[in-house]
Amino acid sequence: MQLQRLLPVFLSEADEHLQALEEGVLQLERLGPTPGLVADLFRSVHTLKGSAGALGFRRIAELAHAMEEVLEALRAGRAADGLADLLLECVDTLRALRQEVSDGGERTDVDALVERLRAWEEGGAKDGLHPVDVRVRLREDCPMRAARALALLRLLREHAHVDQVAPPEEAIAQGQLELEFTARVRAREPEALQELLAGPEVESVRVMPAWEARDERWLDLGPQARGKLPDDPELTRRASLRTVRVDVERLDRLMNLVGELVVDRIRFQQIAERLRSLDRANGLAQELAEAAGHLGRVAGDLQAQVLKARMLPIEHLFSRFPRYVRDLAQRAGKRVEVVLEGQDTELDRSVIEQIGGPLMHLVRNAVDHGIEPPEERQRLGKPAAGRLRLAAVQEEEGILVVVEDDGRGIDTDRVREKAVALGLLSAEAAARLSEEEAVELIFHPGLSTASQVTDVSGRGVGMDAVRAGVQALGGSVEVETQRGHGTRFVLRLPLTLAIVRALLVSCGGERYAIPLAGVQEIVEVPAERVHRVGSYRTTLLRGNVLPLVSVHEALGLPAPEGSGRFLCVVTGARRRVGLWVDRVLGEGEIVVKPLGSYLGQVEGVSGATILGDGRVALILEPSALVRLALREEELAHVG
Amino acid sequence: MSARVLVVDDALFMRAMIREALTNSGFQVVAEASNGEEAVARYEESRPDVVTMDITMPQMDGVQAVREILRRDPSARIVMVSAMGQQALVVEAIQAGARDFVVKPFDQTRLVEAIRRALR
Repeated sequence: MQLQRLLPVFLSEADEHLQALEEGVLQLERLGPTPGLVADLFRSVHTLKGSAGALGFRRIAELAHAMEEVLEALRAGRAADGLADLLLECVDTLRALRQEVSDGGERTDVDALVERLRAWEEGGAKDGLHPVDVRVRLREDCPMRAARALALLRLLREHAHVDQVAPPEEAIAQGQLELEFTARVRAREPEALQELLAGPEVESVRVMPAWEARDERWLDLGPQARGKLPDDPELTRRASLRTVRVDVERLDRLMNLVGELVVDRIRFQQIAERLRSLDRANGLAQELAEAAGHLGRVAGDLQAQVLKARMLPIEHLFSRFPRYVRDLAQRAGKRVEVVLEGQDTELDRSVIEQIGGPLMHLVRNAVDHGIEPPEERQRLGKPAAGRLRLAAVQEEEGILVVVEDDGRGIDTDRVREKAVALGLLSAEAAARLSEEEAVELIFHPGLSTASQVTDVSGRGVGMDAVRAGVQALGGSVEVETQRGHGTRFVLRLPLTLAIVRALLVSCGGERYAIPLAGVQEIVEVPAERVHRVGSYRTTLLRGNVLPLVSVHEALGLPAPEGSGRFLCVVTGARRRVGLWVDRVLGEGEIVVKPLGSYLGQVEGVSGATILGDGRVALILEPSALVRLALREEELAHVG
Repeated sequence: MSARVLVVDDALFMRAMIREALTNSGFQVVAEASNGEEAVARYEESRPDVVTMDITMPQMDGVQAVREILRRDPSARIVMVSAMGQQALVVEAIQAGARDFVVKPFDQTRLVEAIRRALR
């Protein structure tokens, strides 16, 4: 019972260890089992096993134990051939179990995996050969040492792969040998080599795991030291003293409160202004204004600090890509090297959460369609392995995330062809498009969501979803491409979703905020320029028909008295609609607050904010309004 | 079944000594040769399990004979029997494919051990 309280700690720690494991295994695959790496992997698995065992999560503990055994074999010098895939499967299974544990109990079976780990450990892997160093020392009275050494090596070759000999055989043949030589070999049964080489001319034969010679650090740790690798206690203590785990909900609540504080500050300032206009209270009014000013600065700083506390390095997002790309590339028969840059760049947690989908999409497209197969790349004089770069940089107002590949680029001719074939535009119009405009076509919903088009010249499906996703965050996507050289997507993202720049409008006596990212322009349209078709209204804007929707209609509110005049042109999902409002009040930064649970999800409304005068304004979601407006358009056509 | 041995040496005395040592240890000497050429011919006829090969012999020396025999049967097992001071030749023979060697004068156990090792 006591331990159950620690479950959240276990879960979040498990996440960290699983992430570290995954990264470690990918490194193992690339660089082989260096002692430091194996030790890190071992430590993660071992900690996981210990805590899982203490909490009674038997399957996690059992799998972790089997992984430990395998890592032990690596530590003893065994080659890691074929192990990466198996270990990654283990990581996936542990992740699943971790989720199940948080949902109530272990369900996923581990027996088969444990069995496979055992099989690998027992030499069922690729060649079953163990790398060892064999050090032979000849007796002082051994005649013809060089010939003897060569004869012993000849014998060794009958029973093992000899990879290297020190001193080298040519040197031995020329008589450059004292009494000892060492051979690095791979043998099925290293233990048998000792007996094999023993003889009257041989003083001693030592067979030792190859790692002993590789890394002095390991000399003191025999296999019996298993499981005793200590974490560096000093490091652990220091890290834990400087950080605290805080539930994100608490930060959200804090952010909310700070938002209200900011509003109160504005009210104080307004009150102070009004008091100042009353002559008699002038001295007091001045004091109040000063106090309000100070409160304002403190509230501003507090807000900035809370925003900072909600920030996470983008590493949390980027770190999943090496594995993701590896799996994709393996499936597609390609070779891809992932380069991550700017991993320290910080973003609001909520942005990180929501940008994952679009990024995965871009990365998948780059691997599937952008980067060429190795043979093709070599034929083109490119390195066989493609390069996929993920980079993040902080700009003044936001973050730039770059997804770049050195693949074949976007074939704009084929994009044009497809667009014409799908009836999105005429052949003449397609031919008139500039290169940039043709590239932009990949974001067209008709083109990129057409299910039969799985590969549009270097880009797959769903680019409109990517753009819509990024725009929903108040960001934008740009693309640059060069045929034969690659494609670069640049995502501009806001630092946070908690504060947005918004347009304040009034409609039917209510106030609304519209995030500026979704507002294209504001135009004044007199009532007589509005054309009605039943309840459906349009106007002409620079010769183009623009569907209109009024806020109260979109939200299902009763129609206000009087007629609106202003029109905000909002965009979403590449479509534009006009939003009919009474007045435009101005623009400013607003603190986004979620709608209370009693309101739930309201289509077209993404949240609420408190204005300077203490009044609440709903925040409208442009893309949802566009959807609502277009639905009315369809209904009008049916009617 | 006891291993079958071809003994090659230009000195009748050495051949007799080796034969005796081997017979005592349970080996079966199936043929003898007194020079390299003869060794190659006897090897072809009798296809022994192992050969003891002197180095300095008339017509064709032991190293040359090792090469010839291994050319005909790459799996042939040959143990060189060398006089002192012939290390360079022994090295050459091993590089050519001989499996082991003993240095004269040797005691019987050394020879037997070398042959056993070669047979492993």
